[in-house]
Amino acid sequence: MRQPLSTAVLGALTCAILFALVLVPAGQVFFRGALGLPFIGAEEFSRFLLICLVFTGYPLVVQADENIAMKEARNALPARARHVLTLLAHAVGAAVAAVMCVATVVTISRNLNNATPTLNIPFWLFLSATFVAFAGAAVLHVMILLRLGRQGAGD
Amino acid sequence: MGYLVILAFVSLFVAGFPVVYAVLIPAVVYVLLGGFPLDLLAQRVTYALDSFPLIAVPIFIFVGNLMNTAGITDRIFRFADAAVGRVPGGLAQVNIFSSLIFSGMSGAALADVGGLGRIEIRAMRERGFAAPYAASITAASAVVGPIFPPSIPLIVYGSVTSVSIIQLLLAGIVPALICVGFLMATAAILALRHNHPRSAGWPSPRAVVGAMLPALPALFAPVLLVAGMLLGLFTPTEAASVTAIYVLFIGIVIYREMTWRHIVVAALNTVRNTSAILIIVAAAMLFGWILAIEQIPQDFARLVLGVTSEPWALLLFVNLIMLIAGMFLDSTTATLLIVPIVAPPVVAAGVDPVHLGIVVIFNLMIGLLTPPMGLSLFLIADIAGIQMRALLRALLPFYLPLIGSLLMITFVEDVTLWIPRMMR
Repeated sequence: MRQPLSTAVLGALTCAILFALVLVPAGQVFFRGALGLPFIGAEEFSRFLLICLVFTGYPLVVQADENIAMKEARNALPARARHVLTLLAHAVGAAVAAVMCVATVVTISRNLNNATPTLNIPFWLFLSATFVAFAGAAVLHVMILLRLGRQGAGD
Repeated sequence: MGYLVILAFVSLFVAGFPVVYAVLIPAVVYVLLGGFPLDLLAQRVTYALDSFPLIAVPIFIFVGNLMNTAGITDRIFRFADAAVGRVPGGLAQVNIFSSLIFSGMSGAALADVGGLGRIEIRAMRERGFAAPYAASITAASAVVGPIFPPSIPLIVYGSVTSVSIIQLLLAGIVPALICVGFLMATAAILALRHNHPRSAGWPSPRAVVGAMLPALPALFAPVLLVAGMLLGLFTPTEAASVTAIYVLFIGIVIYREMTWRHIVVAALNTVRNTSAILIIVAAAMLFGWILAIEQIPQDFARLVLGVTSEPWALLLFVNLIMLIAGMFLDSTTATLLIVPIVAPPVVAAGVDPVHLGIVVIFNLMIGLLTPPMGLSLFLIADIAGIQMRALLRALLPFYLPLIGSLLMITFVEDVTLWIPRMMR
């Protein structure tokens, strides 16, 4: 089955970030060990990449239903109660993700001129990844909620 | 208010909410009701990941995923079979020995179970071992992975407690070897009692070398990693990166089994695994901030130190708490939420934080093998196609060496601190 364009784009973007994340610290070792030169800004850039990787990858986690959770107690409940709890988890998940989204936008708007010390990476770029994570999660939780609502407890 | 936040987390967690929301929901409500600025939510969560040591986590997960798709796992298994297949216990010993080698490259117990475990269980069943026994030894030996360097749980522990990650990783070497020794002895005793199959004869040196040569590039990876850190050539993050490039090199150039498709699949799995783990680290930063504001760790420390300040009693107490926590929480959640509360009084009483780290993580790894939330148990039962009850029954004898190792790690401090002390 073909995956949605947004999933493919996010998948490609996060894979590229991961490859960069592998290469930068190795590059630092190479520069230091083989060339005797400092790799200026390597740590700062790696930390930026990690933030981007985790947050931009989060919608993929929600979509694949791979969030870490202890579902044993819920699975022991009758189907109807289980269904209600699942709906509730997605509804509250969407609400919290939406609040985090708003908080991120507020934070970006108040720090538009800030940047990192060495590489001058704009602050808003760091927080954009956080925005993608929670905006994507909120939208996905609503979509899953609507789908589960239509399916009902029996399915 | 702080205790209400903890109660809300526990309730949401037990109700099956994703851990990240079980942490975020009470934290967001606390911030909104407390009149704190909204910026705090986004800043705390984002900058929780602004950490160089944590970069090692996705890279070691990537290494584990690559190894499972590039034929490296098979070669490690074939070499282990040639080396220890004749020892009483046969493939059970091979299983334990392979896990040790595998864990020298991948920092995750579940990568061991999911990759190498599949091969081990299939091979053991083909040679006449009962499926529950094959599954149980696979699960028990996977405990070794997260204390032998590299180790993702130890990296998370180090980043939470600000303890040297290199010291933590090196401290895990001797305990892992002791645990492997205990597990192999148990497998040998069980083999002699139940007449388990083993290789027909001792292999000739030529056969061992023949199996070792193809595995040699893979066997060199843990040597590179540990030697690099011991000699001060790499930080753990750099070591992770060098290992990943080395695994890509041997997979593509030497073994010639790794394709672009393998790499992309491994990368996509890594992205999801990493994000699922580290988003909890990010959310837990808010939780930790609330605990600090409410002075809960300080209250807890006063309470505990009021009862006893004997290091051995406190370590026993930590064992109890972390074993129970490990039964219900995954290792990342337990490390992030319980360690900041439990660690201060124990360290204040004189327990070395590196020693404490190994004790905590070993407990949590045993927790992976205990119901109701034993992630390894579910994965292994699924791979082996057996009932959970059968798996637990077969696992019973292996809890003994694991608990024996735990007691030794807990009460013989030198077991963990011998190598780190050489570096201090």
